[in-house]
Amino acid sequence: MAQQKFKVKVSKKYNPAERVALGTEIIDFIIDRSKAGKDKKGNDFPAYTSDYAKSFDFKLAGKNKDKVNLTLSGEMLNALTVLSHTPGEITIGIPKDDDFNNAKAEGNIKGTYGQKKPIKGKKRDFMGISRSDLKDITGKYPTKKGSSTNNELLQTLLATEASREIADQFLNVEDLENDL
Amino acid sequence: MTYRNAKTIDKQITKSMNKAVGDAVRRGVNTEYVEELRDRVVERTQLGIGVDPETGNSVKLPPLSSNYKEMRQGKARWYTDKNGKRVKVTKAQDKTGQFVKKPTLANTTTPAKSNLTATGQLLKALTVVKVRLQGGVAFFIRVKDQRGRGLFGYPASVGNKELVKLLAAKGRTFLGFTKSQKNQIRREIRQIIIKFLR
Repeated sequence: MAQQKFKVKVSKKYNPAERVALGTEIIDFIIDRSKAGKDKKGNDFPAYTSDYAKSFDFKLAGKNKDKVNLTLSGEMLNALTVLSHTPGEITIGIPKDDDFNNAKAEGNIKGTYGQKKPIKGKKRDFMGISRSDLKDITGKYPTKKGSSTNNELLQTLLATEASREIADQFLNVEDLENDL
Repeated sequence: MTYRNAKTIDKQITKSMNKAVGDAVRRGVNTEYVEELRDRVVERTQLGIGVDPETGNSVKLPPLSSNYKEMRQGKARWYTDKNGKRVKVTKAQDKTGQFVKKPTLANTTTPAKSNLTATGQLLKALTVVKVRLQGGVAFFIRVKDQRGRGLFGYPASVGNKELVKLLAAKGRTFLGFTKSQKNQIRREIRQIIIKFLR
């Protein structure tokens, strides 16, 4: 299956750290919007099929058939990442080598869900952001840096960088020796 | 902590931010949060998703063998004869009706589902350990090295530590975070830091 990604046009005045922070906020927005049941245009996702709602995994995950949120394990939405960025453009999507989540995303975006042909009326295209929503996010990243906006922007940039370093060092998941 | 924009940020601000970030992480990243992370590993595995040990990518756990599925369905069972040979007994062959029976599976699995769950004891054995180190604390998620009971109530032949290695050798790695889960952790830590900075 193809890699699932999209590009966002932004001001060329943003530096690399700002583009990464912006991209991270766009991803946060997409995840929150999807969990609220809305696609990239702000429309409601179509309802689950009754077969899916009766499936073992659906019940195991404690899902509600009336709440379509593209979340079973959380793996697909959380696979979204800033793939690359250049002055004026940010590319967001799922890494090319992540076959599992690219397949899940493609199924939702095209409405195919592992079938050869799309299931009519079941497309759930979450991969993108509307102009108005993007404007709301970039509004927090002014290109003209006045002193009143500097502190909040600086906190956001530092939090973005710090979180990467801390998370990568933070947690060890391995079997400890019994005597520890 | 170093920042890529370090040259453009005043040293005093950097120092106070480092302290604030450290305080934020210490307050927000606690045992309860790590226990939630452990639960996510369990839930992900129960949904049949493992971790590729090379790439960290999410992977569907390999399907169960047909023989093992039959055993979980109560259609057949295996034993080792006096010559050490593995012998299969089907339901039709079981004249007593007591040997080939349906095992009691955990309610988080089904006979055909590949999610590293039979009785459920392995995933239940995941535990959070907090260790005090010089300069701070570290959290570990480990598997208690106990010996569970098999499908029919008999003690398992290996402990959990060995079982994790055997499963990994068969392409069923679950003990770890996928890249998706690590992305989620990074975002949550970012939100914790922003929340405490403001």
